[in-house]
Amino acid sequence: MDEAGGLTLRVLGELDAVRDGVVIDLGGRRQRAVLAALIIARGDVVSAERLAECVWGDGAAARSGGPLHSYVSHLRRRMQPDAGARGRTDVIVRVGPGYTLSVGADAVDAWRFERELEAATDLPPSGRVKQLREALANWRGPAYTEYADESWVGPEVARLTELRAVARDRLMDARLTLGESALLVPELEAQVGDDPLREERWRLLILALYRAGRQGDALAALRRARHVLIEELGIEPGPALRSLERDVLAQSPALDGPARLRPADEAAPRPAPDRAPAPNGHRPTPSDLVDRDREIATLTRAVDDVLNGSGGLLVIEGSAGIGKTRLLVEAGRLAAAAGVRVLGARSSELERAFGFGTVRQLFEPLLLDRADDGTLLAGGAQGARPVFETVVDDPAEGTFAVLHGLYRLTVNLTADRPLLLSVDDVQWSDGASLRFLAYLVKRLDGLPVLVVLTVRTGEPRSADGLLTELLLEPSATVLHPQALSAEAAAAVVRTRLDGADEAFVAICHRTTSGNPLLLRQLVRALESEGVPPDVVHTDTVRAVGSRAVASLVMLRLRRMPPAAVEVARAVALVGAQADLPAIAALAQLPDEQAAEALDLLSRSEILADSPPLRFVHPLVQDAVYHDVSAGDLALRHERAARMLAERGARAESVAAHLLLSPARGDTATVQVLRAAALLAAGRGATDSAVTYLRRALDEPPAARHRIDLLVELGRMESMVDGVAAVAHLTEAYSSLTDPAERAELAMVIARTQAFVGRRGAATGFAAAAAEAIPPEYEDERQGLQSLVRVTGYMHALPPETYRTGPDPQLTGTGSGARMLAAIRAFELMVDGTDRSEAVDLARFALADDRLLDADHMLLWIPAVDVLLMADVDVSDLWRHARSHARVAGSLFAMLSVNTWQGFAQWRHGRLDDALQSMGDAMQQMPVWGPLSMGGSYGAAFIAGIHLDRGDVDAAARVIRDGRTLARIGDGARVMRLVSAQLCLAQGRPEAALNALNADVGHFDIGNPAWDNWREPAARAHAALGHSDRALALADEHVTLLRRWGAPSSLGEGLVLAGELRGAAGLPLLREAVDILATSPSTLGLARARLALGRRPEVPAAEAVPLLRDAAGAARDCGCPPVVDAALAALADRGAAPGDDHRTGPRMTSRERQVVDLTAAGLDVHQVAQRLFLTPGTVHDVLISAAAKMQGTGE
Amino acid sequence: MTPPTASTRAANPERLAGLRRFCGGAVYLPGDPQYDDARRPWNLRADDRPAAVAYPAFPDEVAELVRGAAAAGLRVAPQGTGHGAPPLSGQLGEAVLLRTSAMTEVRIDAANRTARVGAGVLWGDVISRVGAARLACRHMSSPSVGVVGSSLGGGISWYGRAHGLQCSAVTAVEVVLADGSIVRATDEQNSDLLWAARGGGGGFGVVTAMEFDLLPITTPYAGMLAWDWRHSLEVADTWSRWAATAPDEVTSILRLVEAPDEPWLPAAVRGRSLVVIDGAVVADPRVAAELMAPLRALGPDVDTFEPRPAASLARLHLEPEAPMSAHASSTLVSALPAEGVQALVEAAGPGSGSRLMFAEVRQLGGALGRPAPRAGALDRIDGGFLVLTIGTTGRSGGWDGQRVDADRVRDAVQPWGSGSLYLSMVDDRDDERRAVPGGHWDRLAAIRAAADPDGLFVLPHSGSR
Repeated sequence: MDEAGGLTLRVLGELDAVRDGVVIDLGGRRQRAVLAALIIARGDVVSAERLAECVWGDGAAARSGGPLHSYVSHLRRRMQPDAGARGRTDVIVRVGPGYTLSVGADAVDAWRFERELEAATDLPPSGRVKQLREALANWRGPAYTEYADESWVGPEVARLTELRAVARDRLMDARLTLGESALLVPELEAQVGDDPLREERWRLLILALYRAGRQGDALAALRRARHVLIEELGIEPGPALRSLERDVLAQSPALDGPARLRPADEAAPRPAPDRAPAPNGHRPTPSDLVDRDREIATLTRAVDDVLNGSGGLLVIEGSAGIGKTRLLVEAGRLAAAAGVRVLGARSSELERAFGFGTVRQLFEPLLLDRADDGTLLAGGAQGARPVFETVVDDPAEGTFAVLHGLYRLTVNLTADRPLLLSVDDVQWSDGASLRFLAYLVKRLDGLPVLVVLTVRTGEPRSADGLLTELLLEPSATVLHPQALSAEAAAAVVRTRLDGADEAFVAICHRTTSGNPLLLRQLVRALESEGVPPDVVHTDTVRAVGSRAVASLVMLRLRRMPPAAVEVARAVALVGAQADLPAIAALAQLPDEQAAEALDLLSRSEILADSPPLRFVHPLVQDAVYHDVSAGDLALRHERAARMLAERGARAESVAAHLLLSPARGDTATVQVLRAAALLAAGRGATDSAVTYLRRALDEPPAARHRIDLLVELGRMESMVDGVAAVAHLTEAYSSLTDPAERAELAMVIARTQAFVGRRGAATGFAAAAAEAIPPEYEDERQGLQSLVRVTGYMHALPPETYRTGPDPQLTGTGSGARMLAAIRAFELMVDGTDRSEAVDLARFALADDRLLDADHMLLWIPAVDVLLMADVDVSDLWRHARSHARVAGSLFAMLSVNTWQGFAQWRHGRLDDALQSMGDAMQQMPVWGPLSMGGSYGAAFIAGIHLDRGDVDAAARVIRDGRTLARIGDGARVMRLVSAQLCLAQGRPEAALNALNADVGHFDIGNPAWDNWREPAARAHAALGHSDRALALADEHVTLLRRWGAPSSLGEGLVLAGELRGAAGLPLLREAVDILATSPSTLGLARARLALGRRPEVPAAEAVPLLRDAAGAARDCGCPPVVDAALAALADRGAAPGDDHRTGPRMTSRERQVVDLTAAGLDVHQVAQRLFLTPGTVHDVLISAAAKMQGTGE
Repeated sequence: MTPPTASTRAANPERLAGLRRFCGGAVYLPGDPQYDDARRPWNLRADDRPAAVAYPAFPDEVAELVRGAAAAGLRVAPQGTGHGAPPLSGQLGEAVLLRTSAMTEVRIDAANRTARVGAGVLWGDVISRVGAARLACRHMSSPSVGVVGSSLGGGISWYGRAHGLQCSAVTAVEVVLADGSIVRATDEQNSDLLWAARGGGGGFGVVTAMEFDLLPITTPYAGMLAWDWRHSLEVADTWSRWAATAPDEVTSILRLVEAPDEPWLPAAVRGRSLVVIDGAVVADPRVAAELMAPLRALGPDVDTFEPRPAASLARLHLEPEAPMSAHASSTLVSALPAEGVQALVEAAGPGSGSRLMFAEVRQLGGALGRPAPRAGALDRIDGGFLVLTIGTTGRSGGWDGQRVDADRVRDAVQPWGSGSLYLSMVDDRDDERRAVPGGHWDRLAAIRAAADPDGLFVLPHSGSR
């Protein structure tokens, strides 16, 4: 070994020399200058004169010789202390009149740097990165630091500095080739700042921005580059930047980075993949997706389908780490390559409270991108605005408008190309987002939207059934990726650990059970520890790889510098919401250090290397997050909240951390949480709002804020958790002193109790509240009294408990008066005595929309029912209520309108329309939440409609399914009637009578129009041969109906009595036909005509037109049993069916609307938007209408 | 509650299952699919079924596991690669086998010439990194042997006669004691533990990391000489005389081997019956060459001696690296005069009918025979030579035949026996007192008793308590 072998001379920084790892003292500045001059000469001979010039600044020949010689010999002694004097001349060699430096090519760091830089050129990208990093590691500071000002050093320093810049650029370029674009942005920004005139750096920055999906920023950077170059140099950007600009504007595919290259991809050009490239320009499957051919085929099919305009739902289900996310990414890649717009989100456990968090992740980037455009949120999508706005003035009451708005937004996005929405870990999505997804997937038919979701199995699922609802969507395709096979695992191992031994690979597979995440993390750990992939190290594989993923990651993290650990924890805490400065602040590190740590974490595959900042896998995040103690975690969340607040983050972002911070009774915390709740409520994310407010209550708030908070919380809870709402509101109520506020709150409590409280609770509470109110608050008292009465009726309490004393008199025209008028009208209707008074009161109640504003939940519907029972035309009211519900965004209001309008349509015999209305209502119900009260009405109405249509089986099904609904109360009462009708239709009169005897609570209903139990009872008795009993009931029925006097009900009652009497009943039937002709009940009239027309006593001249009319009208109504009976009667008489028969069924009003709008030139989507329908429904309606039109020749 | 003592211990199945929560889940119990992989040591001859196998990665995980095992009524048997598994055999049924393979930390401080390694690090992993720093370490003849385990047992390296035992180079150990406490032992603090770690073989705790000195050696003069083994007697006789007088710079091994025809062996050796001398000389090449001259004068068929990078000595001795079944038997002799050489060659050389894989004689003495400057349980080796045989499966006669032949070799040299043993190369359970110098043994037993009063840790060899 030669003595100079251990010697390194270093000039990239302070000039010094290192021998065997130890820095050697080379003496004073002048002495070292001799060495510097010799190094710069690179082995050329430097004359003594020239050396003297370098040392003393001029050719002071006089001083050359002696001093110079002594410098050289001192240098020799220091560099080679062990050699004898004669042996020391082989590093600084005397050649003729001068000296030369004789050391190996690698002995000078600058030379080594140059060699390494050059060697990097031919390497594949990952090798290049390594080599360039090594080359740059030679630098410790500016070259020849202390001689930089000397003229003889200047050119060399400039040359080396330029080479260093080139090396940096090439390193960036190589890393960009490896797909690290997003991570490079901050680094490139800094470098551009250092040297803004280097066009190559601008080019790399712009490319990195573009590839990171930041086109806007890329273009802005181009503008900055142009500005700087013109300002500073007076020149336009060069050709490279100009062509880049063109490509960015054109979104040229040439700019797309490769999917992150793996070393194995580069080692040699790979042979063409086995399968031919898929059509539509799909790229071949990347090499890191092994063993997934079947899954890829499914993804490819789904993408092809969406390209052909047919959307769908794809669910990827499996255990943690099995490769769901990777498939999701692949779906996105395939779709993007085929020109599909791809929007993605990843839900996380920490952000579960974030109302519409997932939805915002999906759409926000796009909306921000088009900030000044606004077309996406126009039209029907307007309802979605609150989701994306930072300030919401007017909290919407429900979610319907928002849901529909988001749905419209989705539709709008498909205007120019198909859409892929992907959600990773949907099991952690917030309730509001799940609600939207559930709403959306039912409407994918005919929409070019592919929804891809991943669900981790073996996780506790969110309590509400929304996720289940979403995943059980019958049209969904479900993928279950399996563990990797031994061959696939071998491929994965060998991409990183080249030439891995068989036994080593087998242990990797066995130890990880083929779980791709665990396997990759294991291989990464083995690689970073430098474990050779040989048979000797199989035990290391087992030792590391048999840990759970989380602990394997922690093992790696614990072996990293502390800064990396802190940064990882910061990212685990704030994740996607944060940028570098925020992470640095949270980790309490300088920015550069945090950036380095981020880079390290990303290179180590702990963080993903594309934005936003996040871990490669939620399990990894979990591991890092849970590695700190619970107490420490709370403090870190508190710090995160403070940091985000200082940085002006949204209240919700701050609140997410406050939820997990220690409770300290801090007023500011309460304020932030309330603000966040307000925002969430404004978006219709009620459950989030409730979460925030509950946390605020735990803080606890200052005493003076407590009542407000309780009220806010209780109001929110009343929509999602009535029991809690009542408890909180009652607490606030007992602390309130202002009578008006108390009364208002009491009404909220009573209404909530009406739906969730124990039977009688609402009534009792409202009565007590009415009692307690001071005399001057008359309107409020009236409101409370109305609630006493309506809840008493709803809950079927004994009437004497809620209708005590004299009937109340109305005072004034306030909301309370309207409410009281509504319930009074309803009571009069139920009593069935004074129709005109009832109608007057109902009209007063409904006037000026006061009631719609004050109480659409409980009292508006009864008032409308009164008018309906009195045969007053209420179609305007429905329209009105519908638009009111839409403006208010209240899903509850919308579904009550649908339910009761369906009821009205049924009453009037428009069975198809009725069924459509009820179908809409039932679809909205699960989205709203369980609602047994509305549910029993809905089920009963639907069963009744089916019966009228002659579909007994469908009716039986609905009633069977409805058994779980409320058994006591008004809904149960309606159900009881329909059950009896069903029994009759099934030929089981006894069962019908039994059904009518079911206990549904106390009702004292004098108006058979409202409680028509006598009709099924009379028919059942008749069928059993108890004619007397039947006739008595029918007569009593008619008598009572005459007292009420509404034609539709009376007419139907007369038909019953007439039919039971046989030939003697003809006058009654004739009267029925006359009366019904003046009523809105088309079907009732048809039934009366049929009853009369088929009596043999009626002459043919009278009967045939009656029967023909009956058949025609019944057909319009969608009532086959009446049609068939009428046709049969006509046939008996040998008469032709009449013209109507050839015309086939008429279109329903909805079909008519759709056809008219289509004829007016609107497309399916526009029609759907106009009519509040889905494009799929519009499509179906058009098909059925077309079939009918074919029959009629329209 | 006091921890159960060895006599009162009884494994509790629920507590056993409770062990799973330790070591990030890297714990295997009987019946687990990978239990068989996990319990299998390097030396496949040992076929034990421990109550559990665990792979802790950090001292705190070791501590948790040690406490958990004690609570579950189990003992703890630390094990690295399992080269030394045989003496543990039969003692593991009620023990947690604590495998150290996950503790893979390696740090080389070139300036101070020291290394720090985790308990799972193999010599091969260290040799290359030390070499890259232009230094050398006192590594074993096989790169697949663990650093910590072999250092605890002493450690005879190619630089042994010049620079002493590896255990004497140890400057610090980090140990988890039986009560789960984590301590660092140096000459200044917990010096008893460090003393015990220097050659005492363990039994006082689980060593999780070790620090030791490196050597400023870059290019030793090293290699191999080989003759057809019909020259065994002549070569062995010349070598033994040469070895007895060679300076401390030389460390060498004479080996009688019928080399298997296996691909991992170099072509010059594969399938041949040879007498081999390999070794290293830490000296100027010219001086070294002069030293080797008497051996070269015998005209070897193979001669690879030359100055070579220290890291290339990792595989100089051509040891099998993959797990295998093996049986090591060895004895220390004070000297090996001509009669001894003859007896050895007759027992193991040509015509002996030996079915062993090989028999070898390791040159000791020099710094290995002098008390080391740093005191330790084993501070020198009592003997001029170590006679070692290795038997393996796949030879005729099976294990019994191997044992007969091994005993024959040992008996042949017994007349010159020093009475001492080097336990790292003894697979049969033997009495520690024969290996540790008198007086030292009492101190070692006392240190163990203090660190592990209830005998939690399983000891490979008998005699400590």
